[in-house]
Amino acid sequence: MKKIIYLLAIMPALFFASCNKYLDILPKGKKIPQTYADFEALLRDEATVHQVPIPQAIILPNDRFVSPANLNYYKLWDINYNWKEQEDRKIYNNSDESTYYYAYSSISVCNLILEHGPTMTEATAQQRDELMATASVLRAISYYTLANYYAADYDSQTAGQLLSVPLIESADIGAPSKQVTIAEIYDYMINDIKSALPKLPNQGQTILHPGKGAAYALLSRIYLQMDNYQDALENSEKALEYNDKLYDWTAYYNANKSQIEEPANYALKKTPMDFAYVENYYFRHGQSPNFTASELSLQVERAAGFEKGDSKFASRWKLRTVVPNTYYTSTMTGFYNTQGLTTVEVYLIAAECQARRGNIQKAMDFVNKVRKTRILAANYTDLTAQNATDAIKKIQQLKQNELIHSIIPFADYKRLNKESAFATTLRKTIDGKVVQLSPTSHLWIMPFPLGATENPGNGSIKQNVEK
Amino acid sequence: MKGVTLPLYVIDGFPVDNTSMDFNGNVVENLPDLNLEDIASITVLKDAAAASIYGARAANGVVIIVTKKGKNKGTEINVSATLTHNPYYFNTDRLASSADMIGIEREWAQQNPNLKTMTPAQAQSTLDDMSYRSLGIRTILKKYAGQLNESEMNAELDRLSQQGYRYYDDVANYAKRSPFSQQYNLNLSSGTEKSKFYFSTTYKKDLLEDRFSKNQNLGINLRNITQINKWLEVEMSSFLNYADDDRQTYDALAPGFSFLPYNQLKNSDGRNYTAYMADYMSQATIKSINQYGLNTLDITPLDEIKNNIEQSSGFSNRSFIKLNAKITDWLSYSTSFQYEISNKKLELLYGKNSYYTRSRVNQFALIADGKATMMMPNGNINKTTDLKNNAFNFRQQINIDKDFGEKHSLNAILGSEIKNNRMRSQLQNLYNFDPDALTYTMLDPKIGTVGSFNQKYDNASQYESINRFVSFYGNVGYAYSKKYLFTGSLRWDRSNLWGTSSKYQNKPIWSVGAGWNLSEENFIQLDWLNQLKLRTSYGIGGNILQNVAPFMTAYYNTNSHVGGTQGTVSDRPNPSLSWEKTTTTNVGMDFGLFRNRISGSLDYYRKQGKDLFASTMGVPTEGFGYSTYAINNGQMTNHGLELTLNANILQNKDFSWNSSLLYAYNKNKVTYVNVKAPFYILQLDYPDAYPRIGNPYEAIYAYKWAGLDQQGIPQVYDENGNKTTQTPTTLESIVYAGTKVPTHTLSWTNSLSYKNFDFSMMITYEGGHKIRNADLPYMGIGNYLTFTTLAPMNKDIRNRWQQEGDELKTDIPRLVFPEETTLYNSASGTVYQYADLNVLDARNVQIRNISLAYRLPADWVKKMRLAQARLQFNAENVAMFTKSSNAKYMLGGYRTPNYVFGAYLTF
Repeated sequence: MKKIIYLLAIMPALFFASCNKYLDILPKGKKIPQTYADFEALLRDEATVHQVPIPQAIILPNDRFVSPANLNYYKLWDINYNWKEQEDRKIYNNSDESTYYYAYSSISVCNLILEHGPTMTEATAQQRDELMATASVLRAISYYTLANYYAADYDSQTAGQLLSVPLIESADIGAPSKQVTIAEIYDYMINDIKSALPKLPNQGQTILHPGKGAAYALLSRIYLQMDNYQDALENSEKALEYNDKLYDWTAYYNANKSQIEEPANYALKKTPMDFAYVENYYFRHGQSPNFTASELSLQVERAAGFEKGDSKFASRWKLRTVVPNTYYTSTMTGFYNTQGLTTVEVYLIAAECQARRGNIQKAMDFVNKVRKTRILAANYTDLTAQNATDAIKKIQQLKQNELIHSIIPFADYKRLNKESAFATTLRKTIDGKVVQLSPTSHLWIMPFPLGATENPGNGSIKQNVEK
Repeated sequence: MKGVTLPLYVIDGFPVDNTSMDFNGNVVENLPDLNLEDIASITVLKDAAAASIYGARAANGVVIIVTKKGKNKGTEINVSATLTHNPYYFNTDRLASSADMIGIEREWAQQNPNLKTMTPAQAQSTLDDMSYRSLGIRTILKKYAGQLNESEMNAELDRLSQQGYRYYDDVANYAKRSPFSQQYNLNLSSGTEKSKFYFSTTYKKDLLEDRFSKNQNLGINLRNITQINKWLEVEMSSFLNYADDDRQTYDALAPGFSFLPYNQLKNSDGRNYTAYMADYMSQATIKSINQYGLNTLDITPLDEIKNNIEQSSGFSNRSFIKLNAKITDWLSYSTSFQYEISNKKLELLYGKNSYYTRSRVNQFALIADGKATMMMPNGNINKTTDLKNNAFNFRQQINIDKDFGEKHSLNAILGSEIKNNRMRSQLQNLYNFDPDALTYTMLDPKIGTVGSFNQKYDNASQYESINRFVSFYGNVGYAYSKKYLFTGSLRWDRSNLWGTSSKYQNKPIWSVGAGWNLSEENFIQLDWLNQLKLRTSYGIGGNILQNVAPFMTAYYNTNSHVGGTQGTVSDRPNPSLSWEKTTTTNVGMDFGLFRNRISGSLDYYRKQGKDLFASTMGVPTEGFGYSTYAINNGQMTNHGLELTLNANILQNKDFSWNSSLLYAYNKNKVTYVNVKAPFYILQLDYPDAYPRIGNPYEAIYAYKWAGLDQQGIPQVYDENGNKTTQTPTTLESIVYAGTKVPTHTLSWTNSLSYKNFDFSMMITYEGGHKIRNADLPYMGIGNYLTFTTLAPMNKDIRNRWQQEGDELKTDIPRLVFPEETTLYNSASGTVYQYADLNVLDARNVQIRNISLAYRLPADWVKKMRLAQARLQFNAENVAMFTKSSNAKYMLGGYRTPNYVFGAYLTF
């Protein structure tokens, strides 16, 4: 009997001793990121890092077909598609949160890597530097999209005063953010990329990891947006040193000729513009990474803007009538690099910079180099230009087509709308009435989504556009 | 506000979790496995002390089940059999009929502006594109395409309109059945002075509504209590359960093509109906299926129901050993150990020829260079899921029960508990599986770039979770001369769960209570008063959020596009999170009157929650605009009254009548919140996340209905009180429309016995709450399609607005087809759906149970060498009465009763 009482007395003491050990286990299937491998994996997550849709930037210049029913349903789409300047888009932009939400999601993961990079374990100095540099470049790509989508174009006259988008540098709950000026956000992007460059590998680990080529391509894109043609040209040349390949669309066309040329064949082909596309510097989705999908349809009028014999166009879209609508429907399926960086963009940046310097021939050589891989031999002749203005217009026509559904057509419209020689007034006829979108329209700046302005966290957000 | 929802089950002193992990790693709570015939008693604990004995898990109440122990002396055998029949019923009365739908389709033809200018070629191409799927519209288009003339078209439309509810009738006749269950039970108990033994076995077989779904179950229970010597008693128990289930995966009510009441499942010649590709797919798609040699996608629903039956088998065991040591006559020590294990295996062979496999394989056809490559081989898909759990529970307890002198008595328990619970799940898919040779084909990793291939669901995944708890608890009761009672309890928990590292982990939960036996007092000695006791308790309980970490956590899986491992941040460190605290106060009274002919209790309670957990929207600029995270948001009070009343109204030799009443009133009010919905739609869709001060927590919010406008378009009031046909986007325009939880509940049971007959009936009432009507007479909520797609809808569409002036008579909006682009208002669906017009009074009266039992007369029983024999008939869920038929439908009131026949014999 006494033994039992002793035992009773001892047992609780034993519990206390072993209690902490017994409870000190971590759940499985989840972990606290600590090592290099743990953090590196975060940058491979396409859903949170590598997808930034830009729906309204595609709808505004009418770079896609939208059915009347969709216009009826999505009021915001209708305002942007039909240029209804009197409407207040702020009220309706619940149907467009994606650009803001996804871009900042990507920025948050990059911030996390940059915050925890210095303390992560099982990393060589080189791995650590490389991963942090990669995150800096990815963050800059997101800021570029945000700054062009939600704020005015970069103009050295006003960039120091006009506000751009919130800048946030931490991934913590309650992290402070500050809405900075356009000049500040561009400086920030350039500094980030420049300091990352020496630590970047020539080629990233995968196409989701920007390497040196991608960083130079992004720098040249940013400098062009700032009308800094000298730096844009230099960086485009450096980018092409890392990758200058162009995909031979004419060969693709010929291999799939019977299917492409058969009018009623709407079977979907797997797109070559995916992760393995030779023109890629860096891959970023504009649609969900979870589901293969078709490309957006085109208006008949927009399709007419493509050159005759353009095999890239013919491989991707085909005329279709589904009564009462007629449009060009996509014949591709898969994942598309619409929001990343590709060689064709860099070629065309280089071409414009050369034209700006007066090197018309050099500019048109770049244009024709691209066209040779796109235009079928039967339709191909070299394109020439009379002067710089003519050359830039021809470069733009090609660039608008080549980079359709990326942020570039929208950003280029805004950039060139500042120059009277290139400013474009878009026009179309609705129900017999001509409507137009002027180069100075406020519609070129998208309002921030209500979800963001009403729930700004530790910072404040001011709309850059009134309605 | 968050967390587990089931009450805690305590069986024979052990908390039984019976949680399992499903194939995607979510924890599922199940009711414990138990032979129902073994239950000796069930008690429900709700007061503050419950939590301090059983821990935070007791927040949703504790159900204490005591099972049968075996007889003290002699042997007893019980045998019973029950059969349950539930007639199949699908409520077509609420649905628009074939005639209604054809009427709508004819109206479509009149209203559609496109049809006025449509050429035969355009009509043909519209048919070929499968822009419209419903038979009525397709018949009309065939006339426009020149395939039918006017009278042929009308004849076909008339034929369709006469089909009534054919599709549902065919489903009832050929695809479903009336569920039928059988259950057989045998139990044996015997005992001597030293030992008690109990054995029971139950076999159950349920044929479910789907013809190929059934469950079989065998439970075996063994229990023994042995008095080893004067002071030591050993109790051992083991419960085994075998389950074998079939689940049909194809449902004829979701057949893979769209249907309306006039569609069919059986042809008039008696053959099974086949939806050929041309019946539901566009010509262009069919052409490419044929051209590239893909699988044809014809669907024969009545053949498909036999395919892809998921077979599962399970085994579980729960065993315990308990030692009770009597140290002195007032002090005893008990220790017990329980081990639970359960394994379940689910196996689903998707047959090569089933519609599921055919269409799945087509989704991964890579078309390039003019030909198709099948990335997923054209063969059977074998999907297996393994679920494994084990748990142990070790308890020690010291019990004190001592009287000091004549007037003082003390009882106390002091104990500790260690718990461990481990759950695992494992899923695997094998493609091109040969069930005979047991061979399969590896998939090309590039499959992820061709179709939507989810590595976790479509390839393989594993999940595991371990929960460990260590707890200490104590409970003291003191009574002075049986009149004055005092109680106190204290509990301290620690666990390995994420939130445990927080400083709030070590807070104990406690309660105190007092009671006064008034009927023991000399000054209240009344003839008619047998018992009167007043009692009160006060306690503080707390909760920590189990899955929120003070660290950053991420989950990982395989990237199927570029390779390697990809990680996603699931939680960020949440420094502002603290303890959720609930204070419970309870005052009550127990009474017995007129020689306890009338007895009952009356309770008032008040629960005050502080720093309650709730979800809030992430900050978009922080990159979490699409996520929610937990915060301590707000305070709320619950107070209520509970009354139980039991009356033996009549009692004489042949006839007795007992009536018992249970009434509860509960009022819930949010007294403080610090978060408002960031966006109007969230207030409507997630009201629990954004409660408003002064309203109940589980509330329904809605727009204020403003009737139809002159054109029959639905309107609501905006924040300024103006009528609008657009969706108001401010929080001010959204008003409180009622609580989802009943404020008054009542249950009334009457039992009558006459000689050998027992009759009882239970009636319940719920009131004071609301329910949102989701069964609307409206065509496609949120419809943004170019083309009218019709789906079955509520029959009140008959009373819709048809002409100007109808807005004074009806609240049912006019039909507007998407093709009528000038009139079509995409906001109408949202406006109508969220209007308070569609928040229904959910008050209801139900006849839950009627039972009639017949005890065979003693002399017959004796002749049959039985101790007792009883026949019983029950009807469950007999009827429901509500204010409106819509409310009855939303509350699930349209169903047929379960009829249960049982025979119970005791030897």
